[in-house]
Amino acid sequence: MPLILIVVATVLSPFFIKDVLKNKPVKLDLISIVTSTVGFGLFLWGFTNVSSDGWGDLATVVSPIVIGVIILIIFGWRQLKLPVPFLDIRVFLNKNFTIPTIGLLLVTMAMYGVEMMLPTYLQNVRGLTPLDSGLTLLWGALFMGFVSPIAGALYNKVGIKRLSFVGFFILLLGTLPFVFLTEQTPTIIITVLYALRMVGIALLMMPLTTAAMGALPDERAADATAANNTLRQVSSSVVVALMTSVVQNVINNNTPNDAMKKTAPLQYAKKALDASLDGFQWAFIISLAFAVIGLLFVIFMKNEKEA
Amino acid sequence: MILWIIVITMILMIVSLLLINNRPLRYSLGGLFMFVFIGFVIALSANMYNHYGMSKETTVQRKQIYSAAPTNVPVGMLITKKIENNHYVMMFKDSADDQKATAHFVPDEDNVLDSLKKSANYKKTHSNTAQVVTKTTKWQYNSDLMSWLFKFKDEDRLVKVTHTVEIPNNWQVVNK
Repeated sequence: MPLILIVVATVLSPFFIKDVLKNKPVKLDLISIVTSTVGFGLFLWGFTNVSSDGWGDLATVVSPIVIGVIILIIFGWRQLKLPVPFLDIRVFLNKNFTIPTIGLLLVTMAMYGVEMMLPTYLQNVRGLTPLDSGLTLLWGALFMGFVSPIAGALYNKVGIKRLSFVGFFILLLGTLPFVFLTEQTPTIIITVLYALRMVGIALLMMPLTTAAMGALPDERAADATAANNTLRQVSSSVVVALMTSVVQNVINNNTPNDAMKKTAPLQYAKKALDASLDGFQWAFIISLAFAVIGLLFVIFMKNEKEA
Repeated sequence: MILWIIVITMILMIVSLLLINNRPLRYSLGGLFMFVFIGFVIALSANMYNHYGMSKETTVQRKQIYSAAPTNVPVGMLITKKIENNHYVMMFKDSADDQKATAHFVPDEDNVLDSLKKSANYKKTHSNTAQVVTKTTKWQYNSDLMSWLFKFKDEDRLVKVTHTVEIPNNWQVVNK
């Protein structure tokens, strides 16, 4: 269900949201609509099926992804040929747009690993109620709201490169202890470190988005936003698929034999718990990896401030 | 406490790297706080993973116990039920005046981790009296500094508890 919403929103939003800038008469190119919807739809559907069917499943995973990519290539080729493109993929030729956009993708992916797994960990492994697990994460959300305007001001002062470095650095260090989470880690550690991560993410998300949008002239804002949003949604779906498949695989591989339930029930329960924790640990490791890649990626950024 | 140190160090790092205009000062202070930040995060991770700053300490407690048999039956008896290897539920009397024997070492089904740390076994000895020997191993902080850094409010420092019920050779063991 969310997948359908994503695709529809991605395709239609540039046209249904009020324009801040002057409107241009745009013809709706039917082939573009069809190829983008089908292409993205298949691509994302393939990834969604990974957690239930595994990476190797030809019918539900590999073919949709491959066919989706082929259709998307057709879509892209058509955009380059159209006099007024549906989605001008030429925006990606602008390095000042593409590099912050890639940075944004890395932040999104680094954010998702912990974001997705933490509530499950808190409720299943630690036995917290949904309310308590939400409260644990509340501080992070508050900090994100608190730091974002500060991040905007800082972006004007120091430029995207230094700001991104600090953001990714904090995100990386905030994520590292999560890899060592156990069944008994005091929850205050989780609360504070999650908030730390959010500070890093807040220093990154808004400035990177602004840097990407600012790289293109105002008339291209629609294309830039559409391209940006599309990539963000696709990358978050991909990382969620990646995360759930890895976690599920690790848990399945480490879950003890059912026979142990009768012979050693306490040991069985512990081993099942350990299997869950191993799964979560891998999700956190993947998150950490994206944060590391993000930090290294800062090298490619130009030290631009808002004009 | 280490959490607050990490937070303060992070803020100092942000301020140095993003608010100082003087370049040499910015990078030297910023670099310093970066290293301190890294150091404390690694220390926290090491403590979470390996109990860095702590070491194990074992204490032994002995308490005499009495037969599970009714008071008018002068037979030494221990009733056991095996949950799994090293986890027996055992019934005996805590004091000689008890009317009924009570069950001991029943695992808490809601708290698996806790239950797994506590093991209970029995063995026969040459002694005339029965006792339960409890060995408790806990993590202790290596120094006041470590305690100040790493002590958290709701932490569990128990490593394991081993109960060994030692009964005289002439006692009967009833396995349920």
